[in-house]
Formats: sequence, C-alpha cells, structure tokens
Amino acid sequence: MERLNFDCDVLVVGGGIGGARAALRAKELGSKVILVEKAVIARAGPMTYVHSQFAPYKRVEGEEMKDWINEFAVGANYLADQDWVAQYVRESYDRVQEQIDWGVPYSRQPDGALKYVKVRGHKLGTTLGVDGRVCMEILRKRLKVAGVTIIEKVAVVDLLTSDGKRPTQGSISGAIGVEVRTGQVHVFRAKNVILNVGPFYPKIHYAFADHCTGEGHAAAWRAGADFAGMEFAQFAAWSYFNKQFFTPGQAKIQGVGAHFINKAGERFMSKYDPIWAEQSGLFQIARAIITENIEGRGPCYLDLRHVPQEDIELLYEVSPTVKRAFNEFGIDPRKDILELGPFVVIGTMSGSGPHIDLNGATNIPGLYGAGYGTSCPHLMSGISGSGISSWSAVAGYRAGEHAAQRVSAVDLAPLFEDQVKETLDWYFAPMRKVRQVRPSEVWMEIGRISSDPGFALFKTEARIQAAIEKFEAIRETMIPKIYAPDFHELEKASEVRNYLDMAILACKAMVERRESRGELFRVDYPYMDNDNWLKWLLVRRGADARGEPEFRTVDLDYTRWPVQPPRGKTPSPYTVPGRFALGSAQ
Amino acid sequence: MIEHIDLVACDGCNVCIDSCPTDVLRMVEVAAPWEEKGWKAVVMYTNECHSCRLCAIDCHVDAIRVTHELHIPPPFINFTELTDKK
Repeated sequence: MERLNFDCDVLVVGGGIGGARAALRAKELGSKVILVEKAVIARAGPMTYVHSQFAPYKRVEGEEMKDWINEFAVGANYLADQDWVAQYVRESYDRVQEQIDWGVPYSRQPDGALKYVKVRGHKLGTTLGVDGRVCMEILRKRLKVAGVTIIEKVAVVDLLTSDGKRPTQGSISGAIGVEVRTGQVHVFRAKNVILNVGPFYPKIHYAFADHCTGEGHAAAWRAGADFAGMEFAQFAAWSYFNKQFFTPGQAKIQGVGAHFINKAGERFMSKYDPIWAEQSGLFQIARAIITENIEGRGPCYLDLRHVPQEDIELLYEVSPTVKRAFNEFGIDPRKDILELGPFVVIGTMSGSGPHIDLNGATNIPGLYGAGYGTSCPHLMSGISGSGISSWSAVAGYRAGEHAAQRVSAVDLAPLFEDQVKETLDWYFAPMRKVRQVRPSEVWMEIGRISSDPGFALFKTEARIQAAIEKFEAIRETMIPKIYAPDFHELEKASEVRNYLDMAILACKAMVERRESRGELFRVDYPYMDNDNWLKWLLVRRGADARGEPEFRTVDLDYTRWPVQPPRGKTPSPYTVPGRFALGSAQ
Repeated sequence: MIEHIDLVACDGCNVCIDSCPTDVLRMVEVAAPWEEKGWKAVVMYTNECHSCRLCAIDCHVDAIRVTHELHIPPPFINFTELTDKK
C-alpha cells in the first residue's frame, strides 16, 4: 500500500480536549495544522466520559489567588508548581467561558444561571456539569469549520527527529502514524509536534482507561524528553461495586457526601485523612479501605442512605453512568449499601509524564505536551478530581499558541528514511511472527505482577526491584514473541509494549524517591520528608544503547511562591501488617 | 461488555463502528433464515470492550445492549489473604 506523506506547521497528536484546543489555537494564529487521532474525535479520550469540568465560578485575581493556590498546593503535597496553578486557575475560567460561548451545554439552574457544584478535595474550587461527549462534538465541528485537517483511526507510533536519532540532540521534526485497520503508513513532517498525551493505564476494563496505554509517553521517552512525577504513577480507585461492576463518577459520589463505612458501620476515613476525610483522594481512600480489610474490619461499604433524594438526583444528573449502573443492578442508594472493591495499578493518576513548562514546551525544541498525561505541574499527586479536563484545555491552548509562534522561526527538517524504516520494522514486527504470544496474555502477566500486594501496597526497595526484574523478564521473553494476526492486534501489541516500558520506568522512579508522598507509600521510608524531598524527580532516557533512565532532582524555589510548606517529617497513616513489615520474606 | 446486538433491529448504518474507542465492532454481511442478506454490526474483539456504552448511545435503533458487569475481573487484591492470622 502506498505511503501517505503530509507536511504541516503544527502536528497535534491525540484528539481529546487538549489536542482539540491546541489545534484550534494554532489554527487561529494562522498555522497549517493536522490533528491525528487513533480512534475518532469525540468518541475517544477521557474527556468523552467526563460529566463535569473544573470551572472557577469567577475570574480569580489578586490577593484571593493565594487561597486557591493553597488548595492545590496542599492537595499536591506541596509539589505543585505554583506558577502553573495560578495560570490554571485564571485560565480555566476563560476556557470554560469560551466553551459556553460556543454553545457547550453546561448545567444550569431553573432560572438559567450556571449551576456550580462542589467537588471532592476543594473548598473554593467548583465544577460545572457537562456531557463531555457533547462538548467534544462541538469542538470537533469547530475544528472542521476552522480548517484543521483531521486524520482519524491513525495511531502515531513514533516521533521523527531532525538528526535522525533517538534520543535526539536536535529537535522534533514530525511523526509516523499507521492506520489501525489497514496498516497504511502516514509520515508527517512538522515544525512542531504537540503530544496531547492521555493518561496511561493497563487494560483493566475501566471505562476510558483501556484505550489510553501510554503511546505518547513512550514516543516522547524514546525521543529524549524529560519526565517528571513518574514515581507517583499509580492509579487507585474504589468503585468496583459488589464484586460485580465498575462505574466512573467517584468524585461526584464523594461530592454529594458519601460515607465510607466498615463492617461495624463505623466511618473510618477521618482516621486516615484528618483534613479531608471522606473528601480525600482516590488513592488515600483505596488505601484506607485496604487497611481496614487487613486489620479485620472489612469488607467496607459505600453508604449513601443519608443523602437527601434531591442530592441523589443531582448525582444522577452529573453522572448518568452511575444512574445506569445502579439501575442495571437494581440498587437503590437510599436503601442499599454497596461493597467496595479498591485496587491499585501502575498508571497515571495525574502528574506523571513528559515535563512541560508554562507554555506547554518540553526540553526538546518543537515538542509540546498537553493533556492529563503530562506531568501536570499543578496537580502532581493532587487530590483534586475533575481538574483534568479543564487542565487539558488550558495546557492545550498554551501549547497551541506557543507552537504557532515558533512556526516562522524554523524550517521543515529533512526526512531520515532510515529512521522511518527502523520505526516501521519495530511496529510491524509482530505481524511477521508465527503464533506465539498474544498481547492479551502479556496484559494478564503484567496484571499479576502489579497486583501483588507486597509490591502494590507495601513497597520496599527490594520489592520494587523484584517487580522490575519480573517486568524486564517479560520484556525479554514475551515481548519478542508477541504476534499479531491482523492490524487491530498489531496496534494492541504496540500498546502493551509501550505500557510495559512506562511501567518499568515508573518502578525505577519509585526506587529513587526515598520517602512516602501522595500515591507513593514505602514501608522502608514511611514518612513524608519535607526536609529532603520537596523536589521533583526528573528522568531522561540515557544516550547509550540500553537507554537506562538517568535521574536528577530539581529543587523547588519556594521563595517566589506564596504558599510555604511545613518543614520536617510527617509519618504516613498506613499500618503495615507483620508479614509485609520491613525485612519480612515477602 | 456488549451483551447483545439485535441483528433484526440493526440496519447496518455503520455509526457504532466509529463510536468505539477500542475499535471492537465490525460490519459483516449476514442473513437470518427469515430475512434478506444485509450488513450488520458484530463484536469482533469481545474481550476488549470496556463497557463505555458509546456505541449504545449512538445507535439510532437501540440495537446494542451493554452491561456494566465485568466478565473478566481486573487484577484485584484478595483481602482475605492479607489479614494477619492471629
């Protein structure tokens, strides 16, 4: 099949809300823009499943800003980039207002005023109900009207560099994509590439997670981008109900005032998180439920019986998936309690990925990041749910603007055919194999390793190293044998390879951070260490053939920022059962 | 996952095919014994469906039924194993 070649000023990879906003902004400033997406815009990306967006109820200015920054800084355990937080709070208002002007139907009061709702983890911050799918449909129409070239069902498999090498000493000069059903190769030459990276998750049948597997992360990694926050790449949730079904919408369930109770009917969250209690983050709640179980007070339940009917109606309104699921299984939240099934996997909660500055730029010229899978410098291990979609819009807008301004200063770089061939050989390799290992078998094996309780919950250096060895064994024994009978499975093979690389990177980063903070809990360092670890851990791929990660830390300059962290060490609230204690065999 | 696609109701409009973010649906030309041959949506990659319901929402004849029930449980931790025996 003939190869398709494209030239453009700005190539946007990923058609979620960040990518759509980036493409629109770059187009507004006169660039030639191509937006490429591996599924279909408005039918893929976390935004499609979102039912509310973080939306400050007013434009925050001046003195007040400090209180808003404080909310994020505390939630992010003081690792937030406070300049980014200020920019986010200010501009998320603008992004939501412009969407309202474009006709996105945000939820309203009967009198027509916007209906702002409180959300988990915020005292000041508010959200607005919106059907993300409808919002994306409106953005898709705007993209078409604006003249952005949209290419769908094409997965970008790797980035091209101006020196033909990965990691590069030069700049990013384009990308290679492959049609997911026909295998047709698309080569894009671009002056700038905006990677609108979504989160990366294993395939756990959790709505929106299964098609976000770290393709963008892995491409940026191979190209030599700086990554931050990888040690916090752990996703936890509690909404696997009655050992039967999942629903998203956890932030909203917490938002209406859910209680978490144990077997004895006691509310236990304030023991684990005295500040936020039942409004705490997903990871904290999942851990607390697990600890209650370990100490023999489980199973734990979600209790909505005290919530007034009008709040249940509100929950159903802002999160129709919850309503559908409850109806399907005949659950009446006013009468029934639901057994909770928490879990922890390696994946981005938020704040793990390519590190970006205030303009969305990475350390590589011509490479920008937007989307929830970037290091989200404000949200790092934050507790604020629902911040993700407006964050992506803000970062996308910034990246689109900055990329468009860079267009006139650079020329299209020549294409290195060797680099194209190398990438395609790698991508198509599973099709040349006889039947050996299916991608789904690798996912199962990854799941088995990452759900080992010693590793998932009670990390020590030895346990993390053991997991790394097991993951690397998969990479050496199973990955070369992956075979794909068709182009669909070929894409799945690429996904699992990329996820595995990112999971190993995350584990290596967990070893480096010698404390417990946010999503990272270590039995050998069971405290948050503000004296030594108020810093970001940045990592980049080494230039040698093995590409071993090279770590470095960056001290945060609090002298410029309004919110100051407390000093000293804070012990973690989690108990460690005997068999998982330090020095035990497990 | 997708529990059922009503092949009698399905009119082969193709919309659901592009609704699926994990690309599990395909069109095939089939005929039930009692009707003419026509293009119908089928689930090609059953295990990859993650119950997001976008296909069911987009289907204009309501032919697709999706359940939230998980047939393949994700890798969970078994708590009973964790409790310290006293």
